[in-house]
Amino acid sequence: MAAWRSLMSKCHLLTLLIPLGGRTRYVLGLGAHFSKHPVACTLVLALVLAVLSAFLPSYRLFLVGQLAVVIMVTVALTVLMGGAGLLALSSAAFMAFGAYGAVIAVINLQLPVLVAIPLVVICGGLLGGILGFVTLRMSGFYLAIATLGLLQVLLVGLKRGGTLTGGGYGLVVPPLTVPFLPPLTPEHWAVVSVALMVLIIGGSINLMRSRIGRAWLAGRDNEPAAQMQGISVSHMKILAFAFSSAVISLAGVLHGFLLGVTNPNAYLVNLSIFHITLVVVGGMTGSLAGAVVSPVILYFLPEIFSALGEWRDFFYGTVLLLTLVFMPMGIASKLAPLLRRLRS
Amino acid sequence: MGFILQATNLSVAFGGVMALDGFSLNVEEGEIHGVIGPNGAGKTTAINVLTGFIRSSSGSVQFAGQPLPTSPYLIARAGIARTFQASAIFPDLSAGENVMCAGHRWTRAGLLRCILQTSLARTEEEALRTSAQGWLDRVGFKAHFDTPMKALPFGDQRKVEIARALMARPRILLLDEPTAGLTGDEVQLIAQLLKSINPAGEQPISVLIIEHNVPFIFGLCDRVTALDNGKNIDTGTPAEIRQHKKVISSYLGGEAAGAAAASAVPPAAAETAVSAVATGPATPSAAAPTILEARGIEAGYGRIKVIRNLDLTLKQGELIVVCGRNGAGKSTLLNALVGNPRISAGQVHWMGQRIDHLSVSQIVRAGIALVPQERGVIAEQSVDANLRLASIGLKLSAKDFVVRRDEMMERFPKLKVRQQQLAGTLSGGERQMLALAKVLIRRPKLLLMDEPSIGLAPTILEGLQAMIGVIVRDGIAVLVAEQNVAWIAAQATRAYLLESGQFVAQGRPDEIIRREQLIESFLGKDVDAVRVATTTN
Repeated sequence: MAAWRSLMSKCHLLTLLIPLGGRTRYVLGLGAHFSKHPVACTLVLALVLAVLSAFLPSYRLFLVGQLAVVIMVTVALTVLMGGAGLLALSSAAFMAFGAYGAVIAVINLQLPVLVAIPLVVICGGLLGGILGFVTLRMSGFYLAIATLGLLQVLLVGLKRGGTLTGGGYGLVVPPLTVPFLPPLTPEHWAVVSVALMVLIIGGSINLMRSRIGRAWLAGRDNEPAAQMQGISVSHMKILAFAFSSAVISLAGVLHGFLLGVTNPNAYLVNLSIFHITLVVVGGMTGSLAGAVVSPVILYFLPEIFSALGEWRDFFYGTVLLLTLVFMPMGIASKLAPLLRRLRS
Repeated sequence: MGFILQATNLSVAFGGVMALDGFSLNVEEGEIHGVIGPNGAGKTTAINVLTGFIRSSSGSVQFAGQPLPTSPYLIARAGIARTFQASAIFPDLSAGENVMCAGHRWTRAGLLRCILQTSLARTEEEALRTSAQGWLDRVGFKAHFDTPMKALPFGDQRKVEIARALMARPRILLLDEPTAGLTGDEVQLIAQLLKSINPAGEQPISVLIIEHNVPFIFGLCDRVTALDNGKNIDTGTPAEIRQHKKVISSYLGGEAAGAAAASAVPPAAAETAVSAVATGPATPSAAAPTILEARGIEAGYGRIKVIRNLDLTLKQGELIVVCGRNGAGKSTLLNALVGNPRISAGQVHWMGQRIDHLSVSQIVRAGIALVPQERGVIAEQSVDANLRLASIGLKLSAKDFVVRRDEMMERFPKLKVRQQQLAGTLSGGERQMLALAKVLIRRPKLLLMDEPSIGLAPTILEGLQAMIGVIVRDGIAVLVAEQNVAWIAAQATRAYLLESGQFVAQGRPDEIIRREQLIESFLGKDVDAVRVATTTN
């Protein structure tokens, strides 16, 4: 039994199979669709890397997990901004919602973690849908300011939430267990994050290529013409908010579990602005290729160079300027045609 | 047969101006119904009311026996499809995907099904794709299905829009100037397509067309409604409307206008058009100095060269016409002359100085002005503010500005009453005048005009023709790039024929028009073959 446990704690890959469970048909279908897409191939590679990273020092593994979380947020926000054309500063709010929500559900509601996560994601999606409905008449700067308001209100709530939210100190993630496995460590969550990231990217690519993705781009670029295709642009905007908020909430859950604590100061407006930077650098032409690459360049590499002290910021700023100067329409504008050529 | 669409007593007011004033329209099931009227008569407003974008302050609309739904997307789902006057494409989607959008209302896959690509989502997608390809083939779209929409020339974008409207399988199709900017052959193709969209046995599609291409509309429609100032003049068969005194006086104009209208369909009509226009070519004195000289210029976007090795000279007070079909490089040539895009080879001399290395604003300050195809007026600003913006950089004193503005108002009296109106609410003809006023206020020495006749009613076109005559007589050189040049050709001193980015012929305007027709008939064949044919002619 002890041998089995030690094997399990090494082989994080198996933890992946649990959430996939009975829906193997869909998962396999997704896989078949995936193999045609080069981004997917690189992602499978990333997955393999994640498994190998079981043998990495835990700080590196933690970073890989964080990268996966940032990529998930960037992809979700690219769908919202680049797809539906909605500029929202609420990404940090939904990350906070996910992180606090999951911990509160586990501590206060005594829910098993495998129930808490889907519950928080669904609530995040609903909340996003409501936000989308309320802000339906707004766009551009007005929408950005309104969503900023939501974030500020939430932050005050978290800081004043007493024992429920732990006030300015936040909450400590309790030990989390799932059946048949050893207690989950941040290393486990890093691998889970990478795996979920792969699924989110695959699903989002499918979505952007589907009738819904087309309707988003149509409504963004020419609302009257989109309406004349029978597209309800309002419904589509609400749907975009719901989808991206659900994904960002999931990323928030994983972010909290990776850190082991939730702190209100981790979800300030700087975080939202950082996410928007990633989306803009990635490109907003409806392709998600840049959303996968920009966090690697602007988050992962600077973190790797964090030993260099303030040179880390220098590196970040230089990379940001260079990508915007040489790829003013975002990474996707250069990457997507390249990928298309590779495919054909 | 019953009426599919019955609009009664519609009224819409913008500010104090009645755009529609008790307008009524009945469209029979399966008919092709035309709507004609001068610019500003309220045609586009009528379509906007019928598709729910503008609310009528009175009256009612019945569609297929039901009251019309209130919002545009519900109207579209009820079975009304339309195209827009200005191109209404989705630039980040491919041509095929643009058409596939029309299938949105009869596909069902929801968010989860789309994410997981279930068999339902995939089947629907395949069906849409096949259907979209079918419609693209029917409108004569030859480029690849996956071509990005923004990479297509204007004519192809128009075809995609029409395919998209037909793909929606509507009960009625509303077309707002579908032939604007298309060549004669393409117009013929659209006409044939519209005649053949109702095969026996299927539910018929009715068509409502707004057009300024008078021969097109009279040749195609079963019935025509004419309106002016938001009121009906009359509805009847093309023959009846053509004879109608009020229609002639308000819209079709005199003989010259008839010829100008005919020019919109080049082949046989064009030659008569040239001879019909009374005003002769503006003849600059032989001693007039050369003001612009371009040698071997080459320009394009990115790696694509749109124009190659062009030579062009212009003398003071000359009127020159550059003709050629869509995608030949006319717009690129004009844009390159003002420095955007910059030419990649060759030289441009202006008044003896090289200008090809200058920036757009420096070239404009040197006295070259461009009226772009989309007119370049700022819709959210008033007429007055537009003129003010145009004179920035001239450093005019307040008094000088007023002098120059009044000068423009004298030239374009129609703008005078609309000085405080937003440019976006002007009709097509007034917008063209404002665009002209915006560049003329700078007192340029050379005026470049890109497709000035697009979307103009015959009477307005007649006015524009006269206006250009006055401008040329004032000593300003004018270069007009046009698809259908017959309306202006008789006034021109010289004409160039542009094909695939190169001048294939130049000379007297009437000769060039003949050669252009020859190219049209060679359409799709080797350009070199055309060149041989035109030079041996």
